[in-house]
Amino acid sequence: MNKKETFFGCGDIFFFSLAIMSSALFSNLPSILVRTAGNGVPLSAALSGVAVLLLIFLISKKLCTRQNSDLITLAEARFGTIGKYVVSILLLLYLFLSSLYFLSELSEFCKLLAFPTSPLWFVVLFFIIAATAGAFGGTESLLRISRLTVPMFSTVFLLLVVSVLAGSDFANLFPLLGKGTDKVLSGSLSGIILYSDIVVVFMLIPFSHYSKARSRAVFSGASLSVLFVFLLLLAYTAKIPYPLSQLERFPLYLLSKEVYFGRFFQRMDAILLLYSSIIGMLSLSAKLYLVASILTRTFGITAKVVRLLPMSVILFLLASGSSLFPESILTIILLSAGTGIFAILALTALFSGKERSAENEK
Amino acid sequence: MKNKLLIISTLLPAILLSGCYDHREIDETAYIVALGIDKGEKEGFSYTFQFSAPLAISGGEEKKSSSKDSEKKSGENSTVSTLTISAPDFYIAKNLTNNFLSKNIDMSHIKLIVFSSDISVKGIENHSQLLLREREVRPHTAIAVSAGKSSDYLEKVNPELESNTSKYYELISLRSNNAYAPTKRLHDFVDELAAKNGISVLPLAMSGDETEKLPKAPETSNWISAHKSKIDSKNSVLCGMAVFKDGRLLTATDSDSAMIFNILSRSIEDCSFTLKDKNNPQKTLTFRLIIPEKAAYTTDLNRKNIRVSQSFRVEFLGSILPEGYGSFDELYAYADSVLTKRIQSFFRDFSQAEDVDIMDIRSCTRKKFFTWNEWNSFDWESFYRQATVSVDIKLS
Repeated sequence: MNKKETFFGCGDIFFFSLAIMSSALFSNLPSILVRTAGNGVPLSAALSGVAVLLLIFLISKKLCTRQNSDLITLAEARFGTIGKYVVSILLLLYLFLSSLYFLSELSEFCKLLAFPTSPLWFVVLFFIIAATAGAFGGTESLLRISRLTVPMFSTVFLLLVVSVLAGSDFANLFPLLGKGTDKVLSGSLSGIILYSDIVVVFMLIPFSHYSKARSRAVFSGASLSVLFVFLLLLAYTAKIPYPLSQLERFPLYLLSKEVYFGRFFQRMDAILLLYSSIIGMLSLSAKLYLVASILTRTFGITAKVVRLLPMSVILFLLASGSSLFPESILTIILLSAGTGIFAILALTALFSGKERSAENEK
Repeated sequence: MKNKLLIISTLLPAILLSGCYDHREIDETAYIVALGIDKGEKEGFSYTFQFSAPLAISGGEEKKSSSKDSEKKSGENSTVSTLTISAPDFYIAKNLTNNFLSKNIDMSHIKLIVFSSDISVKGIENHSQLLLREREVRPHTAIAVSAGKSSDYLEKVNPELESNTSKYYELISLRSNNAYAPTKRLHDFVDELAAKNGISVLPLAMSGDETEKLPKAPETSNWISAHKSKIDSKNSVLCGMAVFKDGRLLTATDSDSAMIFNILSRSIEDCSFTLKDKNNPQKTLTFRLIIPEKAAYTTDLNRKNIRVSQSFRVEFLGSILPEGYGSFDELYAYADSVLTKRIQSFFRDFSQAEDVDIMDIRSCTRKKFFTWNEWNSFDWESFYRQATVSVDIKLS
C-alpha cells in the first residue's frame, strides 16, 4: 500500500460512504424486497437498516479506530499468510461480482432513462472507461469528487422522494405486514445485501490519516444511506399500489415519473441520470482501485496497467453481454457474495477483539 | 504523461455521454397532442392521431381576424391536424403514420387520450398499460372516455379563448375546478384498474349539444340538478363520469353525481350548488362551497356502518338574508341538510345500488387488518352492499 499518508476530512468520508452505499438505489435490488414483502416492504427496509447499522457500528469501532488496519491485515495477524490469501481472494471475488452486477444494472438504468435506442455496450463502455480512469486517480480524487457532487444530488433526491410522498395515498401501505410476518422478515434479511458495498469503505479509509471522528463519519454516511433506501421504498409503496408495485424492475425509475411539480417541472428523471452516473462512477472506481490495491499488497503485482486493464476488459465484456444471462442468476450471485461479505465482517467484529488482547499480551 | 492520460480518459466518457445515437431534430418531428382510440369498423382498432401544427399556432396572431372568424364558424381548428388509421395494434398504426407523414412521430407531448365507450374495457386497460410503459408518454397525461366516437370528439375540438390546442387539453382535463367531470391521469387509471378491483372513473368527452343526453340524477328534495342544462355549442366538452368495475364499463353518471364525487375526493377546490328555497319554491338559493380537505371514512365492522365526514366553508351568494329565515345560521343549517341528503343519495342510490365502491372506502377499512390473507378472507363486497352510510358534514 502507498505509505504516503492521505488526509481525509470527516465530510469526505461521510459523503464517500453515502455514495458507495447508495449505488444499490439504481439497481433492481429494491424490487426484490418489494416482491418478497409486498407492501410490508417499508417495515422490511427498516428492520434490515437497523441490523446493518448495528453491524456497521461494531465494525467501524474495530477497523476505523486503528491505523492501517483492514480485513486483510487482521486476517494475516490472526491466521497468518493463509488467512491473508483467503480473505484477499474472497474480497477480490466479491468486488468482481459486485462490480459486474452494478455495472450492468447502472448501464441498464441509464439506458432506460436516456438512451433507448443505444446498444447496452455503448453505455457500459462509458462507465468502464470512467471507472478505470477514476481508479487510476486514486482515493483522494474519489473522495474529493464525492464531497463536491454527492451533497447536491442527495438533496435533490431527497426532495424528489419527499414530494412523491406528499402526494401519495398512505392507505397503500396497509395491511402493514403485507404478505405476512415471515415474508417481511425474509425481505429484511435480503435487504441487508443492499449495503454490502460498505466493505469498500472499511478497506480504504483505515489507510488515511487517523482521526477520531473517522468511525463516526462512516457510521453517519451509512445511516443516511439506510434512510434513503427506507424513504425510497416507503414512497414507492405509498405511491404505487400493491400488486402493481411488484411488476417494476427499477422502482426509482417509476417513482421519478410520478414527480409532478406542475406543468413546467415534469421530466425529473433527467436529474436521476446525473445522480446515477456520478454514484456509479464513484462506486465502480473505488472497487477497481481496491482490486488493484489488493493485487499489489497480497500478490505483489505492481504495474498499474496489469492490475486494472484486464479486470476492466473482462467486466466490460461480461456486462455488455449481461442480457444473455437470466436476471435471476446475477441477482443470486450477488446475494450470495453479499451474504459472504457480511459474514466476514460479522466474524471480524466478533474476533478482532481477541486478536487485540493477544497483541497486548505480547 | 500521467496527467495527459487522465485528461484524455476523462474527456472520452464525456463524448460518449452526449448521446449522439439518439439525436432528434425538432423540425423533423411531428408532435402528437391527443390520441383517440375507437373500435375498428371490421376488426382491431381505429386510432386517431392529432398532431400539433406549430406554425399555425405561432402565426395565429398575425392572421387576419376575418380568417379566424370564418374558421370558428365552420368549426375548423387549423392549429392541429388529425389523422385516423385502422389497425389491429397501436404500434402498427404508429408505424403506418410514417408512410403518410414525412416527420418522425413524438408522443412526449400527448396531453389527452380518449377512448371510445364501444371498445371493451380489456382493450382500454391494455392500451392504457401499453401507453404508460411507453417512455415518451408522460404518466400525468389526461385520459377520458367519449360518449360517441373519440375521432368525432377530437375533430370537433375548437378551443374558445385559446389558440394552442395542446394547452387547451392540458387546462381543461387537469384543471382543479371542472366541477361536473372528474380528472384522471393515465398512471392513476392504470393503478386503479390493476389494484382497486378494477374500479375507476373517467370523464366523459362529448359535444356540447349532447350534454342533455346524460343520465338523470336521482331526485333529492330541494336540490337543483344541472342535468337539464345544455351548452349551446357544437364544440367538445368534458361533462359527466364513466364508471368502470371488474373489467366492464358499468355506467355513465349525471353531472351532479360527478360533482359530488369531486367534492368527496377533493378533486375540485370549490364549487357552487343551488337549492330551492323551502319557503318559496319558485326562488333559488345559491351557495359557494370551499373544500379544504377530502372526506374521511370510518367503518364500524360490527355495526355495519360507514360514516362519511367532511368539513367545508360555505358562503351564501346573496346580499341579504332571504325571507322566512331567522338568521344565516338557519339558512346554512338548511343548506347542510340538503347537501347531506344529496351525498347520502349518492351513496345509497348510486354507489351501493350499482354495487361499486366508487370512493374506495375499502382502502380505509384495510387499515384494520394486518396481512393480505386476513383482508382477503373478509367479504368487503357484501359488507359494503349492506352497510348503512351516515353522512356527517360541517359547514362553517
